[in-house]
Amino acid sequence: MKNQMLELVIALVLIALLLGPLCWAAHTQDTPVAIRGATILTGAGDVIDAGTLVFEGGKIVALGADVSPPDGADVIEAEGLYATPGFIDAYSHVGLGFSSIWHRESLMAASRRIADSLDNPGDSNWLRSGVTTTYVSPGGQNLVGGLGAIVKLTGSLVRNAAAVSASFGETALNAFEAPTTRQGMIAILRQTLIRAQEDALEGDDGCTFAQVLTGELSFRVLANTPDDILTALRLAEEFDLHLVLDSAAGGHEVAEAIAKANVPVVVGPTIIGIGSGGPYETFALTPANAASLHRSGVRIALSTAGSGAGRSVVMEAVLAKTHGLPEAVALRAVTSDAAAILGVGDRLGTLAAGMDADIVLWEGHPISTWGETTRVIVDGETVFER
Amino acid sequence: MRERDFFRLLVGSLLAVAACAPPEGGDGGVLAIVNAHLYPVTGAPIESGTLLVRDGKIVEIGTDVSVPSGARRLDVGGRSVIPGLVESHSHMGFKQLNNPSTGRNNNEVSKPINAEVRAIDGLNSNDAAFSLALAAGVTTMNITTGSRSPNSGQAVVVKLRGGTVEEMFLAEGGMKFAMRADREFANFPESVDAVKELLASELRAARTYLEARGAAEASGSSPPPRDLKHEAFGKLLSHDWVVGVHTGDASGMRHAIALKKEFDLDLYIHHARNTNELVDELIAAGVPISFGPILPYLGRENLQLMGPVHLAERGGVVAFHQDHPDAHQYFLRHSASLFVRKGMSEQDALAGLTLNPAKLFHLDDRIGSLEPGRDADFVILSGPPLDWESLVEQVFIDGEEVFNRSTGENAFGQRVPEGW
Repeated sequence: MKNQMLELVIALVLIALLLGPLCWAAHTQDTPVAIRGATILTGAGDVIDAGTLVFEGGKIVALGADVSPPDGADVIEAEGLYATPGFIDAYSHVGLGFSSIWHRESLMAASRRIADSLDNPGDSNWLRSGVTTTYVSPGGQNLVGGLGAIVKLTGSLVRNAAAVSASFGETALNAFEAPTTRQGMIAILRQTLIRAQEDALEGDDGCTFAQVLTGELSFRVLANTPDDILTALRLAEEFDLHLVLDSAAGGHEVAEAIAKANVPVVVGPTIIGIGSGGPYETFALTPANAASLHRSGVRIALSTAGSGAGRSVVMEAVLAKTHGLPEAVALRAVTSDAAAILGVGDRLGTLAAGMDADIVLWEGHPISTWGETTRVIVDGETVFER
Repeated sequence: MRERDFFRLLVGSLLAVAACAPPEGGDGGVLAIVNAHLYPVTGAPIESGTLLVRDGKIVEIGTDVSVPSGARRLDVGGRSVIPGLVESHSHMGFKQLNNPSTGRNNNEVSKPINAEVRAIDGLNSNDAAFSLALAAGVTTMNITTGSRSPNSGQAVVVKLRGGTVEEMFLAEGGMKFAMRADREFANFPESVDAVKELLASELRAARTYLEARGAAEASGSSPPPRDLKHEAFGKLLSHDWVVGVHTGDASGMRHAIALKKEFDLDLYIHHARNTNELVDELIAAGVPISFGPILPYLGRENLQLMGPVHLAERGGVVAFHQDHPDAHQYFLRHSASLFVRKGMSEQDALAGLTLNPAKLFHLDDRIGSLEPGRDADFVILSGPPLDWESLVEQVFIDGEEVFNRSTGENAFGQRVPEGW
């Protein structure tokens, strides 16, 4: 009995600890807070030495080298630390259970809202590592897997239907009995897009594809061979799609074509288990892809395709830098460029007045082996302090 | 002489003969790595040092080493030099990257006990993953069959020098047990208790078999017929072989420790996810661990990282592994720095990649450190060894270059794409 009571108390304490960060984020702070003395990396390319950043009501109100904390503000001393926007993982499956990651009934599930399947998308490990926002994508097993969502790692939804995520290549091909070829899959997609053009597609799918055709919803394609990438570019041109490429193993081989089409790439994770991957992906998802694409003029974001736990887009950024991506570009790829590619650049990804107060303080440079988060702020609330 | 030692001597002398041909004139094929930041692992790092190699062996290391005239000099301009990495748990060569249709050799699952099954008999040295492993700085690898049977067979330790499996052979890798109760796999009894009892009964049977063979020899009567399974278990009882136990949860780890005590086995635990809960017990029983796979399963913030940190602090032996193809071999070195972020000393983290995995197989008198007399297996890196910003530039095995990033050449001859 005594033990049971003890267990109950421990359980309650644990629940309180787990829910704590979420509850803090639920209400917005109303006293202004100033972070003073940090090296501010705005995420958009600017560096402010010994700067001060002020936020209030969950939004950034001012920042600069000559900004002073307003009267009555709480002051966080940050001399010797770096301040960056909260990092963005531009493709993940966080919060998606095994059963909801893909739709088993049909190859096409364009109107399936991934936000409806999210089971507590908060992740404290990701928050601790400095990642505050992610695009949660359906899995790559469906040719068209549904509407992905943008969430903060505190669990709050930024955008419910953020993009339509599709998948070309082996993963989708292996998940269903028919069609049996890549060209068979693409023919189905092309026919669907044409029916949507002619307003012949009914119900939710008609609505979703209509928004894809106007470019209101970006069309994201997971493609992991140069051929699949070129197919995506072909379709995008044919239907004037607002295309974003995901993962893009082998993208370096067709980087010129991607750049010419002005299509951004959410570069796939390099830190993966390789047992399940095909032979080509294993070789081609290298840490040099990001730099190759950047050199060809492609705008990139980085991603983990992870569901929390071990993967962190911070580590992907360090690897990309090691393999030739300029440090400043690597930072943009997990902040302002990622936000722009996701379509939320007006709210996230840059430290500027009016933006969400999603801020990370770092000891050591954020894009480095030994850089360490010391404080993570989401919507103006400190959700982690080391 | 124990059979393992005999094999080592045999293979060692064959290699010595092979390595005797000097690479290019000079003083008996002496190679001098000069102006190097040396990490011996068994001692403190040496700045601006020299590593002298002759006939595939390290002959001298330090700041005050005179380079014989005619020696081949390689000035590495202050770059880091560490021992070749030792991957203590791999399935490379069973499930080939370049030929996925031949992926059936990872697990013998036709029965629970497979002690007579030898990894070397199913190994394909043409697996393109070996080239990638060299690019990661791995020079030695324990290759073992999978964990879908309580006993999946015998492991083999190979060097990644290219060529055939025979040419790669370094030592026998002992045996593998899997201490799990996984209903997913038909070969497992329903509880970890029962798995332990199954393995214990095999060890007892082997003891009876050895006694009967010994008694027959002593009395001159005809011995019981040879039985490869009993012989294999017998090598665990005689300490000729080590046994690695696949287990992650605390219960499985405790059963492994109990098995070691009951039969006085030379035993280590691999995976060892819950080391955090068992530091005292592992120290008391003198059980080393091989922790992994790490990236991408454990990132910077996972609390399981603390187990190895605490075990190493207490003087326990901690090796790391990536378990190809479960996780990517390239990130073995990267994984080690995660523990340094959590408080492990750089020396212990480096030992986890080199000396400690060598210790698991009692090969630390040959590999895993930079000391006179050791095999000249080493890696040249562009910067500090545990920095993710550093790249593996060159890899040497037995004094011969087996990987060169700038030329793209490697001993297995498969193309390594840019970025690995």
